[in-house]
Amino acid sequence: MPFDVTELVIAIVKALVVFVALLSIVPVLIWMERKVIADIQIRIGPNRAGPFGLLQPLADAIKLIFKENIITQGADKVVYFFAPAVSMVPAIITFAVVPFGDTAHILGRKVLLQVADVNIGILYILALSSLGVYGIVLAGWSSNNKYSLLGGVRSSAQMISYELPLGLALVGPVLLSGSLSLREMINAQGRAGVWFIVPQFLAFAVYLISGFAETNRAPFDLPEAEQELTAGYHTEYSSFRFALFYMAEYVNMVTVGAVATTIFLGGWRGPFGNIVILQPVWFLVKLFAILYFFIWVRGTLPRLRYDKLMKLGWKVLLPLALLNLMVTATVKALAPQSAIPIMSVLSLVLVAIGVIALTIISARSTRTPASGLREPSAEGAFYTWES
Amino acid sequence: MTVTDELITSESFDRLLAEAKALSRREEGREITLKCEPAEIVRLAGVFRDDPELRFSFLSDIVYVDHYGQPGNGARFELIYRAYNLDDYRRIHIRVPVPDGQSVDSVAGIWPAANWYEREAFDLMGFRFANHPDPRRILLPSAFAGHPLRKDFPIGGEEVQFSVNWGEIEPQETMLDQCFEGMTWKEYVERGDDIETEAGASPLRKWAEEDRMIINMGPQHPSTHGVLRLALALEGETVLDAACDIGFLHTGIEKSAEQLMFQQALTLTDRMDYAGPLGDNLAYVLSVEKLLGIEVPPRAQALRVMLAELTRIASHLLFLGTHALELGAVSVFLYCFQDREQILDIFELASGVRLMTSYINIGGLRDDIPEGFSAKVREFLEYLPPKLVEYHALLTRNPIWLERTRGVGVISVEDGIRMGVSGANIRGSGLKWDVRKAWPYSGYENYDFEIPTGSNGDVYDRYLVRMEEMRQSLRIVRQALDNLPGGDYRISDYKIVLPPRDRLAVSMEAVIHHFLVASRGFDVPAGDAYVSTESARGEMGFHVVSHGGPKPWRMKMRPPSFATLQALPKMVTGGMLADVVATVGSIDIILGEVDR
Amino acid sequence: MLSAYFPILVLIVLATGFALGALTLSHVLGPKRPNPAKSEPYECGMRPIGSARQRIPVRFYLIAMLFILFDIEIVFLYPWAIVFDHLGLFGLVEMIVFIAILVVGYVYVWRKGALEWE
Repeated sequence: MPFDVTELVIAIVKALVVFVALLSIVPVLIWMERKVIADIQIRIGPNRAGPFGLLQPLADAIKLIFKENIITQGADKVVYFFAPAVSMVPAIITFAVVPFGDTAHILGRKVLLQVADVNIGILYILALSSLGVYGIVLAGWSSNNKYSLLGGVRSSAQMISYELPLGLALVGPVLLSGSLSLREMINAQGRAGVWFIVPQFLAFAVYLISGFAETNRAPFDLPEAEQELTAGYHTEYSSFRFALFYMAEYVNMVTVGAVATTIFLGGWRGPFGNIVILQPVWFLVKLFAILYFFIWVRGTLPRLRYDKLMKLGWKVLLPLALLNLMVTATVKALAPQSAIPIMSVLSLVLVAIGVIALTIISARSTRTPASGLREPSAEGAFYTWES
Repeated sequence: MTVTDELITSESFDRLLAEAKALSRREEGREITLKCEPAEIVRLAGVFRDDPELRFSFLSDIVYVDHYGQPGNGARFELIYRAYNLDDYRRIHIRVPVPDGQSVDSVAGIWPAANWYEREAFDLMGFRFANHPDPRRILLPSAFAGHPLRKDFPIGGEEVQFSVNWGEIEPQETMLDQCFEGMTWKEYVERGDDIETEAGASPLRKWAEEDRMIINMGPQHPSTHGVLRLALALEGETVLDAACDIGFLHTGIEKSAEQLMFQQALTLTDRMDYAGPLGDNLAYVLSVEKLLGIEVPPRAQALRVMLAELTRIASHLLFLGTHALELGAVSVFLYCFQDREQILDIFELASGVRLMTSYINIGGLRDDIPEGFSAKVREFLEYLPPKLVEYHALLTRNPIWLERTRGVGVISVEDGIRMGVSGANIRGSGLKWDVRKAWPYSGYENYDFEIPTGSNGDVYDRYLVRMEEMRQSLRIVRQALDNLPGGDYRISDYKIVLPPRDRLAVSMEAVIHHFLVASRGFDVPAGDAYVSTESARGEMGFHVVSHGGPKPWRMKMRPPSFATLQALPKMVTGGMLADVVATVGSIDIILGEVDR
Repeated sequence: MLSAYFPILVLIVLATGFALGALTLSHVLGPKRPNPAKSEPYECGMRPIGSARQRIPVRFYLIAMLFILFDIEIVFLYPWAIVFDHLGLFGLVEMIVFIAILVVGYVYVWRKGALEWE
């Protein structure tokens, strides 16, 4: 391996930049989430610390650093201490393979706007994202608290269950692009002239739903379902240990969003995409659109029950992902050149069918609510009385 | 009303049965009062529950009174069992004089609802019930000594030491220190209750012995509606068994009421059901008025109905919000609170207070409604319906909502009746029983409204019933507003209500009345009275006992949440942990009312 | 190609350093005033009954086993997907057979009720 000092410096600088960027996106995201949720709930949200309350997450972090680290009596001290780090580290390093731009020319060198262009990018992501669950399980187990344990067990079962549809959903785009490298997948989307969300809409939907579950976000936030398990696996955590869990959750959210952006939304591609400086901007715009969707869902939907959650993962998403894979493979094998247009048409048909089916299901899903009450009348949801 | 003063003997029993059967719903006399020996109660209860023509299947409450030092009563204590026939709405009051120290047979085998009622009577007044399935204290700590609702229980009070320096305050032995066997209050707090023998845990002991996980849900839990403690035996996520532990919020309101004048005790009722305080005001006031034998003017009646229904809407909005919150739909929670604020604004406009209004007073209302009140209520009548449509759109057909609520926390009508469940909770199971229709009060018979019922008795049906009740309440409010009578807002007997302020400057008599009512109160004729009302949570009423004099001798409340809570373990057993949360939210309990 | 992983190593060092640094920093900066009530496991204000480290229903292990089985199968799909263009129809048939076996196992597990939570 030739040793090149400049390469070394570039690598370190890139890693540092991504690291700092990730850690600064988190407070912005937390702030955004609180503001958006507040907006949905007709509240004001944080508005005291800094302009528009922008410094609120920072203030929280500083406060948390100065808080006492409480160690539960009977806790496994070593595991208890390291569990937040175990949760945090994979969350950060998963991002390494996500490209946020094409190639920049800095000081006469070509610099990939990506920490590491690994040729097995997707496998890397899958491998690391499942590591995060260790932190949660260990935290739940080591706390010597039943709520923590239940939360930890819940989340481990949940995360590994949704790992399957998540992994399967990504095979479709891989088939279409013929590469595991995320950079190569973006290029493939450029060549095809269409983002993979169009030919692989089903995969995108499965991926996104699994992503909610993987990041423990509402409506899949069961491991920390406050109304059931108080605070779930981090019930016993205080001070900055708690903050690490909290940050890891948001970093994971960013990663899931970034991967979705890269694989399904064309990554850094966009109008005037050849201007290098615009590429990270496009990337961030798409990323935040997905994150906004995450937040929006949280403000709208109730939480699933545990058995329904497992059922959804194993009995709905897994077959769907498998189906998507089989159809994609068949189309690709029969018509290698026009696979993407055919899949796009199929996706559109699927979306149409889905919309119609959902309409029918939701119309039929209300049973006669109460004796003497008829179905909601057409003009409004009010029940009318039979005489 | 049939009253038999003599104790039941075997000869009089048949005659009494015949008399009880003769009372039918078409006649006015639907109340039966009878008296029996403690030894007879189980036999009597069995006959009255099982006889096909009687069917008094619903035990509303067991009232326990200590007639300590009162002449004219043979026995010191008295138990009053109140049971209903929910087909023709006959009511029976079985009075049982109990001499000091005598034990009474438990009727929990006849009416399972009696389980908690009898535990309460034991806890607070020291009754001994033979063959009781679970003879433990219920509201007070297990280490507590004595029974505070006995009249000879000392009322404590500790001297307040004024000092600017904390160190100068000397530790004193207080009343509380004498209340625990062999230890002071501080020692008790430091030791904690013995978990194994403590209330709530012991029914689960067999699961603990089987090495199942026993988890405490509450009292410090985000979704137990206050300070309810649920001990759950879990297998993974499945609930094997559950036990309720209550009393964390017990503040001795019934004991406090005995130290206050009738009109002062009113303020305590606000603090019980703090989500629907005006409903409690009304229930209490109606009982006292029945004892006094007064009828309030029509304007007061209509305004009371209007306020009670607004309270019901406010309470149901609170229910909807917290219920949705517990199922993870956080936004609905905040929307509902905003709507509820509108009602609290109306209360504030009328009474100056948002929550603990004490606005409905003995003899009418405290004040007449102010200018702009009607406009504000009309505004609200226009405001809420679109909001309700919105909540239906958000929740009623939401697949996740349906999955979380349908078939969850089911209770059948029969079980509900056995456990004493009332209100929207039993209507969700399909029983069309509403006190406003069954035993109308405050002129409810003049209003046109429907009673929504469900059919499955699950969380979803209870939710729908409450959603519809809000709309029916709006109908009632609109009718009351449209036909609001003029006239006085209270009676004009100034021996009971305070004379008008402007009279004080011109009339010596008014000054005397004012002085007497405010400082000494008014005497209420000896006797006792109970009026059922339909609060937001179910059948609510106050059994007020007077021995003459300005203070209630005994004020026994029938808190609907108390009985409903008793049925909770039955609803959640076999479900999942998340269903417990959904079910607790759906029965809409208020711990302030349960614990008093 | 191992050099491609060097930046990742840098990132790992950074992330670990940050996590441990933050933990240590808060450990140093935060007050330490333990008392028995504070360090009691939080169980809604009551003293816990029994140990928190209890046996967990076998169902969870079952899910873990199933996960490993299916996950390995999925990992096989990735190299196949990359060389799919070269394999053509043969690759498709081959994979249909492979997935068919997978589906048989899946259906078996479903029918056996291993995916139920009642």
